[in-house]
Amino acid sequence: MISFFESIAKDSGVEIEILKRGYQIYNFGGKSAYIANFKSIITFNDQCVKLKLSRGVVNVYGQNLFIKELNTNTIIVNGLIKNIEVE
Amino acid sequence: MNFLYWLMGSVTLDIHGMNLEKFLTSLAKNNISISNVLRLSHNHFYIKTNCFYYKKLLEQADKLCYTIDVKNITGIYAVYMFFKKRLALFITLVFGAVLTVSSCFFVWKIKINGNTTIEYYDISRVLKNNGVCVGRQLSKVDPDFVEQLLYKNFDQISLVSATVYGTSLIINIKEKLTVPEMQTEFKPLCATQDGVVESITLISGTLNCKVGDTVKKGDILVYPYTIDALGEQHPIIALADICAYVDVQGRVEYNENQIQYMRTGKKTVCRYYNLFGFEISLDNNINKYDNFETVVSQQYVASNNLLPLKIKTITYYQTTGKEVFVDFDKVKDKQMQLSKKLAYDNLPKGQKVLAEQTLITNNQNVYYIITYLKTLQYIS
Repeated sequence: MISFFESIAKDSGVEIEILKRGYQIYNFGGKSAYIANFKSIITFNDQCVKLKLSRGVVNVYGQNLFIKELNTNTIIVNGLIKNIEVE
Repeated sequence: MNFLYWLMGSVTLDIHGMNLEKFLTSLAKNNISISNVLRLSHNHFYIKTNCFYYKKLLEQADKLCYTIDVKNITGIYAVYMFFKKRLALFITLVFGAVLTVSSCFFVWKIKINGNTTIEYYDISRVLKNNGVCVGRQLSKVDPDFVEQLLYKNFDQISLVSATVYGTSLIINIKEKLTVPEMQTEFKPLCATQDGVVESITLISGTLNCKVGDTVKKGDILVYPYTIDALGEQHPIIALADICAYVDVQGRVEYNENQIQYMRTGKKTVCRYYNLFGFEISLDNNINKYDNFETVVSQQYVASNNLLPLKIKTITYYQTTGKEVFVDFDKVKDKQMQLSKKLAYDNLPKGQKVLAEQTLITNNQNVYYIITYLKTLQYIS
């Protein structure tokens, strides 16, 4: 059985190690965003959450945003998510 | 694992401080998991964390000089925090629980049902001597052993069952039935009064009288045995209902020569103080009369009766006797009435009078007036 990452690596041609070590962003229906492998939190308020990556910054824009879960290098942001940008 | 975290509980904190992002980043870097981070203003936010990370979070907050208030605690951690401030209550509850649970393993009551001739004390003494008593461990009380023990020690027991119900040992006993005649000694049935037998209903025993016989008080009416065809006597309780005509009497004696006592006019007065029945003489007067009449009076010394001190006065009036002759005919009716009254006073309550008769006999100047009331009574 092929895992999710193995399947993506195979289809995209990117090595699986790079896939796992790099940042990961999942947007679930605009209601919940899961971001993994971030470095630190730059900004946090109910309209914008900015996170620093190993290379770059990810911005989550929306309304009534709050941090649902925060662990060592993963974060879940809930609320009405309008846009996610990576700079 | 998630279930364990939920069971252990979580803490919701109200935090005041600047630069929230730095705080959150430091928490993440120190492997402190938090959730439900809600920013209310630039320096005020809520954080929820598991009780495992609570202490670490507090340390981080102290480093950054944040002000923390506990808003809510859930789960077992809440119980822990409650009892942490009320240690005595916790100890009492634990001790009470241990005591209650441990007491369930012992016998605290022994109940015995069905014993009428066997005393409770005797049964419990036998049980105690064989290790079955209040305070004994339930596991060491064997109902079968208890049943065998009681069978062996009491002949009067016909059936016995023992069972353990909760912390009680319940013993049900059925005693052997014995014939009443075998329990008492056999006595004859005797007449309780003088009379003439009117009717006999024999229940058990051998009759010693018949209808029409005149019996006296104490005469044997029924013997306590029966005689079989072989002529052998078998003891049995003598029982019978025997009615007889009984005469109830009222007797008066009258002497025509009577002595009448009259006061001579002389008297002696003796006074005493009386306190709680103890008498102290107030004067040294002594009664020296051979024939005298006595009049006694008492009264309290104090009107308010605070001290129950009484003065008792005994007056002795000297009397002299004079013989007089009073004809019986003058007092005959009165004496007959008196005799009748005495007879009715001697009549048992509720008894019906069948006939009434008054007899007067005399011996020189002494007259005897006897009233007979004929009744029908049980004399057995």
